[in-house]
Amino acid sequence: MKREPPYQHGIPESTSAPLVTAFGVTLVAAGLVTNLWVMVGGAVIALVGLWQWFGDVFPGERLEEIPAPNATQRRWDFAVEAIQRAGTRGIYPERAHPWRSGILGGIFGGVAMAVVASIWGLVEHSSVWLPINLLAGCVMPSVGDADETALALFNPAWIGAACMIHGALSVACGVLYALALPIAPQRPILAGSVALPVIVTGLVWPTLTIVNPALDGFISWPWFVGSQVAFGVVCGWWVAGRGTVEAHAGRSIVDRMGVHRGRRR
Amino acid sequence: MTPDAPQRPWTAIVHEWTVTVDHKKLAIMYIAFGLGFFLVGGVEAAILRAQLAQHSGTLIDPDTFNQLFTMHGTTMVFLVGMPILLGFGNYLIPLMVGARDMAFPRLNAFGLWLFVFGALLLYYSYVGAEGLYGESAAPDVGWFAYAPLTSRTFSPGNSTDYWILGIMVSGFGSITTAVNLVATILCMRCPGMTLLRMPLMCWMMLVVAALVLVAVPVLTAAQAMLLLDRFLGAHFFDTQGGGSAILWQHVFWFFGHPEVYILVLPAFGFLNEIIPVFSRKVIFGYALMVAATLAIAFIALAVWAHHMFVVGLSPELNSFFAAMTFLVAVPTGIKIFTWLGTMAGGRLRFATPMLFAAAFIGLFTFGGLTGVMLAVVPFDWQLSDSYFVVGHFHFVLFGGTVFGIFAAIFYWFPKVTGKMLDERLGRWFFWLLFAGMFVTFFPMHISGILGMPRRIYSYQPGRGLELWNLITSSGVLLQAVALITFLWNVIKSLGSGVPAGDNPWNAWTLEWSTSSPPPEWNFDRIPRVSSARPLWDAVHPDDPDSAYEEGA
Amino acid sequence: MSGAASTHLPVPNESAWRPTRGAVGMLCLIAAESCIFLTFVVAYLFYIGKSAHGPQPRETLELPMVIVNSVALISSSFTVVAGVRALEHGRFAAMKGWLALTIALGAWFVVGTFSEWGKLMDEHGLFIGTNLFGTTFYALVGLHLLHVIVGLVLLSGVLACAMRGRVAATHAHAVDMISWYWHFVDGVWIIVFTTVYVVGRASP
Repeated sequence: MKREPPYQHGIPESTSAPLVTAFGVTLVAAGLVTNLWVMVGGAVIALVGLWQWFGDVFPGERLEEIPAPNATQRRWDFAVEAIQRAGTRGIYPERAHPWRSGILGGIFGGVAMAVVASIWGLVEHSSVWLPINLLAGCVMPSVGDADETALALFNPAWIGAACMIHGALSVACGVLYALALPIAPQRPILAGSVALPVIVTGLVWPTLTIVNPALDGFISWPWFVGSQVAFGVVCGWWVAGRGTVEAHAGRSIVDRMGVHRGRRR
Repeated sequence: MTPDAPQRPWTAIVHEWTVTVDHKKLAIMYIAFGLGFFLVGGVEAAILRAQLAQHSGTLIDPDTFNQLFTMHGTTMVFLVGMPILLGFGNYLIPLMVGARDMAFPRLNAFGLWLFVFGALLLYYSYVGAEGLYGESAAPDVGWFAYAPLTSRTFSPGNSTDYWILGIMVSGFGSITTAVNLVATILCMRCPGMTLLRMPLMCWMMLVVAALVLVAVPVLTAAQAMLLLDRFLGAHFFDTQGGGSAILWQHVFWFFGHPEVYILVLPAFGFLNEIIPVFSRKVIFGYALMVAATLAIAFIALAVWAHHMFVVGLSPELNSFFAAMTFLVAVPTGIKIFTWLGTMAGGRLRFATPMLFAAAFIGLFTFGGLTGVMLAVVPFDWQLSDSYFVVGHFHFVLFGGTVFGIFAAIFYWFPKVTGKMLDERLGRWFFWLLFAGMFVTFFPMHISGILGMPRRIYSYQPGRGLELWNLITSSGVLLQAVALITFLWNVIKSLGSGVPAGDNPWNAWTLEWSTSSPPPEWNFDRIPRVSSARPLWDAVHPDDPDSAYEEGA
Repeated sequence: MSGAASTHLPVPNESAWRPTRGAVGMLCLIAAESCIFLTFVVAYLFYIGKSAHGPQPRETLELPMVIVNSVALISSSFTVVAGVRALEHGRFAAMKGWLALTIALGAWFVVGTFSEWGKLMDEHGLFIGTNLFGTTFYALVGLHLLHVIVGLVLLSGVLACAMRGRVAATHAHAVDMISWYWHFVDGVWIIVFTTVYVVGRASP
């Protein structure tokens, strides 16, 4: 069904048919809330409009001719200077951090964070399990009902849930961090140890009562921020230390897979 | 707009504009019409906020308050958002795909006039309708018109019928425009313009048109059922006759949620054009953006019941819709990162369009995040129908859609009129509107959490709501000043603006290759393109985009 | 390279897929209409068996008559295709014949539906306001009937033009689009029939 699209050689003539038809249709609707005769009048007007419309397209569509392009017609060269002034192609970011370093950075950061949290548990509540159990409160309602003694004990279900949450969040944060790093200011560890904790704490602080009331009752904010910083520093150190690879933004998929002859810079 | 306009009698000009089928003239009318109603809806909101500025307000009575918030919501969604966004689609799509007009120019005019007459019919209710308290009553059932409030029993007279009919007629208008947009994008592309070489704006409008085709007819059908209920005594939503009020909610929100995406996807499209040009970079992840848009469209059709968590659906249903709502945040997030990726490392130039685009990213993300919060079912139970929700969707629709629209107006005004808008006034406008929007809508979240319900005409003192409401109301003044700046800018620039030239922003898409304003036939010769950035290719024959395309 | 030459860059990868605007427009219209029908079908299914009183589908709906009507409507899809084919090949007399037959079959369906409605109203006292069954039945079947009537008006318009000898083979595509609409109306009837007469009657 390959045909030439319409209006290559002419554009449609002006016509009042659509206006008349639309007016009639609206009057038909208005008739419901005003008067039956408004509806009848509207129907008549709409029919007149449709008849006129029919005349515009049958037996053939009425077209206006387009004036022939003359020698002085505009061409695309008008913008040459402007765009050339504006420079050449840019492909950014030129280099990016690989996914793998983000995943590993997240795991190592997560371990560091867990260490800090456990120290907090030992120091303030003399239990390694307490912070872990509290984290499980995000998904396990039973944590909210438990008292401090129960929270300080080893509970396999809670530990399992907490490890899953912690693992998933750590890896996700690590990957996001690695992906976002090329477009952040070039201070990877600073970004990790300041920006990340600030953002996470800012998000957690107002919502914690709702998401995890159990943790909210126990939380010590300095330690919380401290554990975030530990995550950020370790994750940032790892990701930044692994170096970058060439980014392929703007390349075709064939290029990126290296199948093609390749247009390496 | 034509140079010889001043010499002709005004009747000839009016005639020319009323009988035109030129997509550009129709689009200008769409946008002017939408902006006019933006002022009307704004005045309605201003009266509402004046009433609520202090506790126990006595400016207007409860019934007027109900009418005003109904008309404000209806106007802003159906008579402002839809026509302006479809208007931009109308203006830009043929130019962007290198066509001389839309696929169905007469149908296009028909759609515009249906919009106009539908709007007039709706507003005629202020004169002609009868409501609960007698004559001259506008609809007062809220923009989502929940059953059984709309039944004859609770809504006597015909003010509700005006709401149904006005929206139905303008709904036909949006359906015809959507048909037109799809046909134009699929059939009218110039040689070489493959689907994946279209400007992303065209993709957004294609998806929007598809959503309109799926969503708006459902509202039309629901309204037809409501009409049958009200005029022929049917029982669709008549709870006394066995009908279900919940069915209306399901059907309405099946339309209502995609409608939100209909209102915001074109604004995404504006950003997709503006951000690369002002970053001097190619859009980052073109295919990803297309895929994310399609994903949003599909997921958006399966999230509607998150408006209905307080109804008490089954836990399984609630969980499904909550999960789908979380899911829709993923492709939306992809878009945010795509824009950030485009800006990263680019040579940013913060002209007014870019200011609005950049603000859009932040404000929309904020509104999106509160949306994710509201998708948490227990959280929604707490805050449903509170000012938190009002704040949330105003961040999305004002910070998103309206900022997108103003970005587009500043970006394409030179193309449409041949004159630049004043940059200095533009900056004033941006910062005033940005401040006004924040002052108005941010405190709504707080008053909502403190327990301020939406749609109440008054509140008691001593509940901690006075301050936040006062701040909210005072933001309206900032917005009003901002809009005056904008209007002054438009008037001044139309008269004595700097001539724009064909391509004032050094952009790369086809609409900038023709004159400003374009001739009625758009292009003297139908263009041929070989990549997504034809003007770049024209200027850099040694390093054209086409060389980077797959299989090139 | 000058700007003049740049307009004549080679055009690689030209997409061959470019449907006609008529086809796309009609398919979009059909999509939109389908959503309207879907809403009414959902309402019908939602309210099956929820009428507390009054006539129920199983007691009132009779299959023999509606099956005859349905056969008439469905076969009109085939006659309209024959009409379009005739037009494409310039056999105008055959086209007029096929179109007239299509219109007759459609009109048969309209008359048949009205007589069924008359029977429901007279014998069973089923009106749109009687109960939820009446509400959803008349709304859904009536919506479809409206579409049949619109289709008949369109086809009659084509036939009228053909009678005056003003239809040429170049109009075949436009007439084909009208036939697509007619196919849609017929296809929807299969869904409406299944919903109303099969599912509706089967449920208690």
